[in-house]
This record gives sequence, C-alpha cells and structure tokens, in this order.
Amino acid sequence: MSQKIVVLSKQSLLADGIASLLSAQPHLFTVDTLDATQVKNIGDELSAETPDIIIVDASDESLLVEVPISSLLELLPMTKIIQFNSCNDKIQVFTSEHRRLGESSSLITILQEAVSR
Amino acid sequence: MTMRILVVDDHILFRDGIVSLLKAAGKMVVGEAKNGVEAIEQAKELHPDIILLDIDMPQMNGLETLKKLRQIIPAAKVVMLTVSNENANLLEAVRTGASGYLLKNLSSDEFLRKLDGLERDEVAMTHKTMTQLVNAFADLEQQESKFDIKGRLTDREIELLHFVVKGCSNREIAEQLFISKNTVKYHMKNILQKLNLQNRAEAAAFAVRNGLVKEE
Repeated sequence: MSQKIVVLSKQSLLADGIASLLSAQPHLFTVDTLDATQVKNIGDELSAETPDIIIVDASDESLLVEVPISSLLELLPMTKIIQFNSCNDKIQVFTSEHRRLGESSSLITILQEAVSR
Repeated sequence: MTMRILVVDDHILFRDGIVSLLKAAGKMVVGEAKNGVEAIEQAKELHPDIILLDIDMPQMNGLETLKKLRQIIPAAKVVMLTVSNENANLLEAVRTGASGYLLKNLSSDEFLRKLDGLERDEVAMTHKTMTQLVNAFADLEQQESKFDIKGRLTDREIELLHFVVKGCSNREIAEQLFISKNTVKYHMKNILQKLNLQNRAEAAAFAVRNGLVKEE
C-alpha cells in the first residue's frame, strides 16, 4: 500500500519538485503539496488529509514558528514528520508516542523502555 | 524546437525536483551543475539554450557565474532562480544580462509558463518582480542624481545650507562659520546659481528634499 505524503513548504517550486520526484514511484507514494503561504489554517488542512508522512520544509524558519513540529505531532500522533532543510540538505525524522500515566511506576517502565531502545 | 536546459543549484533535492518537474513537462534537461564552476564547464560543453541559475552557491556564486556565462555563451538565456528578492541582486542580474529573475516561491505552473515565454523572447519575470525592478531603478536614479547634486556643491556650500535650513540669517551664519557676511552672501549666490534656484527658501526646501541636509 502506498504511503500518503504531504509536502508542506513556503517555496512552491521546492514542494512541487519533491512531489514530482516522489510521484515517479506511484506504488510507494501518493503525494500532495500544501503551500503554507496560501492556506489559512494549516492544522485543519493536514487533519483533513490525514497523511502518513508530512515533509516540512525548514529552510524558511518562519514556517517552523507558525507550525511547530511539536504541534504537528500533537495534532497527528500517528503521522511521521520529516523536517527537511534545503539550505543544508539536512533531514530530521520525528515520531511521537502518546501514553497516559496510570501510576508513577509506569513512568519508570517507560523510561526503561526508552533507554533500552 | 525544444529548448535545451541546464539546471544549476547547489541544493540536491531542489535541483533534482526542478529537473523532475521540467522532464514531466516535456522539457529537455541536458545537464545539472552544483556550483558556478561546474556550470561554466557544462555550458562550454553542452551549449544549452536556457540556464537556470541559483545565486547563493559555494565556490562561485550565481552573479559571478552569470558574468562569465555571458562571455562564454552569450546566446544562452540565463534565468536566475533564487530565494533572494533583494534589489541589489535583482539589479545586478539584469544589468549583467540575465533573461529572467524568478523566485523559488513561484508555483510550478507559473514557472513553466515563464520558461515557455523565453521561447517567444519574453523576459522570465513575474509582474511583482518587474514592478520591484522598475522601482529599484527609479530609486537608484534618484540616489545617483542626489550624488550629482552633492558633487556640484563645495563642502563649505553644503555646510552653509545646514544653517539656511535652520532659518539662520546671513549674519548668524557668518558668526557660526567665522566668516564675513559678504562671504556668506557670495556662497549663497553660488549655491542658487549652481542649483538654478531663486531664493534661500527654495534652497532650503531643495536641500531637504534631495537629502543634502536633514531637517532638524
């Protein structure tokens, strides 16, 4: 099954270019782009799309201020966020894990699991 | 006839993305380069019709590269493709002979339309950038004319204009500058003559308007 990807950027050409590259593998990816300069509520748009992966263009730092990675992870906990900076060709992958503490000993278990990974 | 395109950008994903977009639109990409030095080598070898050139690149930036490309392969149309919307870069690119100046926040549809326009000898530039260019040239002309005016006056005459703008009389100016009232009158006459003005009120307004003196 192909992964649903959204490329979020303030540079349309970059987003369209990445979408074009990934679309060459239709069996692996279905790709959409979101122009952060044109959309009023990015969170609503992304929630509606429910992508498997969001590629966030971090070359324009203002985008990360407007839509922090933490808020995306909170909004879409099952979605992987790939932060890409075209200025230095650096990629960072973010995933989140949401759990509720029943008792304080659970925290110790979670910490032990995190350390052993 | 299909235009042969060379893409020059140091950022791999952006470059590959543009190449992919161009190919998907049926354009012929004959080469890719990651800096100015590579661009020049490839331009010599491949003789592209269009060169898409980033500005901020290591080794040799896009504006230096543009100068060299204009000498080596003058028939090629070079389009700057950049995130920089600074007037200085835009003016230098156009003065050096760029056939276009496109920003990376352009939509892919408009980008491809602008490239198609090159085939009809149109300039690859959005209306917004065109307006920016006209305003930048107008500002530049105004600055240059200010410089010309300043060049016509002596330092003493500009100094004297400071006092005229403050509303000082000839006597007061003479006292401030430790010169005679007649010398002040002589300088005033020269200022009015050089600037083709009628009186000191006009001179004061002219000095402020043209940035010779700041109003206090």
